[in-house]
Amino acid sequence: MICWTSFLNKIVGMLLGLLLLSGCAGRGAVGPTPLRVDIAAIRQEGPQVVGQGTLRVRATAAGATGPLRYALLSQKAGLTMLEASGDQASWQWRPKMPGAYRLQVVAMDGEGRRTVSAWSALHHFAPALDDRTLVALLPPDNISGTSAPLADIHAALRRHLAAAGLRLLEAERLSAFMEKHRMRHTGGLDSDLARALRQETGAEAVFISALESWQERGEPRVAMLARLVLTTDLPEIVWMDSVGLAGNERPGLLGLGRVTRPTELLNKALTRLTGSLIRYKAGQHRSYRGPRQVAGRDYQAAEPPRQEPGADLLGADRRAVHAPRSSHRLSGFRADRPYSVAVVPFLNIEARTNAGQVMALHFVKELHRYENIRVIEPGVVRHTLLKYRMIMEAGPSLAVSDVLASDTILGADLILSGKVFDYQGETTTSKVDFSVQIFDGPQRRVVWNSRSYADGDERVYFFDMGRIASAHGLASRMAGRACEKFLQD
Amino acid sequence: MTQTPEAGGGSPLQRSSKTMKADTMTDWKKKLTGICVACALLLALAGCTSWAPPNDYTNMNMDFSSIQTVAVLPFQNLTSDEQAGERVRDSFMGMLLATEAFYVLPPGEVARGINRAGVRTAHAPTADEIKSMGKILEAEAVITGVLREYGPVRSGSTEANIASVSLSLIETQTGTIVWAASSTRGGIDLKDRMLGGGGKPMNKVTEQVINDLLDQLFE
Repeated sequence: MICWTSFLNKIVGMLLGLLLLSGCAGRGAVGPTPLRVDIAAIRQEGPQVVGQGTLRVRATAAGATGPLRYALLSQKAGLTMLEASGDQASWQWRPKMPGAYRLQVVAMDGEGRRTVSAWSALHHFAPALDDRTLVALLPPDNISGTSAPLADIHAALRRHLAAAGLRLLEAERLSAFMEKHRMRHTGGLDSDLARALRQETGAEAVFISALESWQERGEPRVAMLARLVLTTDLPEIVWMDSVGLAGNERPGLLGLGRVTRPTELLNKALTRLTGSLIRYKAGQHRSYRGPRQVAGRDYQAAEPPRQEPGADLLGADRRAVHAPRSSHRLSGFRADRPYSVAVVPFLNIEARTNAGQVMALHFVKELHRYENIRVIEPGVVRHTLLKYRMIMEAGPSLAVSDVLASDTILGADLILSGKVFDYQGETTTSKVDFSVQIFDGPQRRVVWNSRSYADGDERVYFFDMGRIASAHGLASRMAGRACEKFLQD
Repeated sequence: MTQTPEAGGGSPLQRSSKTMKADTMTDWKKKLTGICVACALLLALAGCTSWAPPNDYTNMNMDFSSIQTVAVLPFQNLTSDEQAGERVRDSFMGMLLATEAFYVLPPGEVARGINRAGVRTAHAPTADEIKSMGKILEAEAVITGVLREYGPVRSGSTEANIASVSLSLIETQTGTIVWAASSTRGGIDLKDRMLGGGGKPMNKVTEQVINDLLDQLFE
């Protein structure tokens, strides 16, 4: 006869023993608590519009040993970019370009353990320009070094922008404002004027244009650089592009494609420029998020590289012609980090009038395409240099760089300057020769130095195919290649 | 029975022609040897003429590893091109920085140092001025330069670009020259005289001169 009580006792005892053993085994396997990071909250502040709205992101981490370091990553169209890093677990983030973004937080503790949060939901940011945005159109700044019919060009620009659907501030109101504030320089916008313009006229953005070259006699030529700047407390460039055309650029069969009237060429140029602005308004403006290497993964450029007009018949890489002939980047410089850049006018060594200013604007335009680079509005840089009476006879000194890099003044991480040795293309073959130097403001060191020179006829063998007729086209490509090389991984 | 020329060794005429051929061959051999000897002599002479005393000076007692920061002063320009000195200096500064052997101070900072030190002739400072500049700029050495030639040279109908530069590295602690060198590149060579072509672009010639000087500095 089985004794059920003792049998049950034995079973319970065995189970208890097993539980005890498993408990002991479990205790033996217990390691450090796994590191975990989460996005605790994302709060929207302001409208989801570029330059106006921000996202306040807060992360929480658990299981860390030692001090924690965080990094905020953003993802757009499948491309990831580092936005910020440090020991703070909260950020006020705003994108530079419109689009749909996801955010992720990376955490690393004192023992070097690294973990990532889940990607956040999509956050859409609209372009800073829509049909309701009130835009003040400043008269073009003539940096062509020649006299030009600025009033006509201004009127034509106004017509084209109105036709593109922009809501423009009345010319009379803008004139009154400029008169009241003694605003003579129309090539940029500083913080004080931006604030006053917004408060007094309601203008939310300013369209700033610079006439780079103008030629009526012989073959007409026109080149312009334009940008849209928000009238926020610290004016911010939201769109920038340029156009440079020559009447004999594409003569075609029997010279039928030749443009002989300057007004026709101007209209063509303005149509292209406003076309680019319309694309920005529609959220289709091109920007680069790469190539980047974030969190150990390789990312490709968001957009294919711009197509070079005039392919080289012998198959040579035309992009190499416009790349810097010699360059050096300080080892250890991280190109994938976010930077704010102040571009100061280049020194004009032997080139035409205002060539230094033109070259600086080309670099502003090319750098603005990169999403990890925030280019400080040239008007703000100019105002700062004037305010602190910074005279640069031979380029910026460390004292100038300290002023521009100071957190209480401009907070520029990088200061770009250079020298222009040649800038010609008005009548003869286009030729551009310049050098660039970039300082790391906080480190007080030169991080980049390059020398670029090229002429428009380089590697042109048959029927002018691939010839770059204007100095504008050449300078734009050369500045683009220099930026590409500086920011490559 | 007729004797074939092959069997009987040929006619006297044929024999004499063979002898003549052999003599000619011997002559040619002698001539060839003569030509070879002449060529060898010419080469040896050319070798002797290509030897030249070294055109650089290095202070053997100087510890160059102690130099970490240098300031490149504006070059003295002895050419008719007013801005040539600045062009060459800019290229030199970029290429020297790229060697990563020294940190090259930016030109704006050098200009500030020149002003602060009250240097009267920036391209030829005195030892005291160099010492003073060294303290202001925190540079261990300064580089001075003279641009002797820059631009096209012409010989007959041929034209080519030439650049000639001399440099000195001066220690700021003592104000003494620790290294000096010069180089000339470009100009009209035999190929230009025979085929024309106009020589190399000015920027290329400048790069060659600077490369040559950097080779001399780091050899």
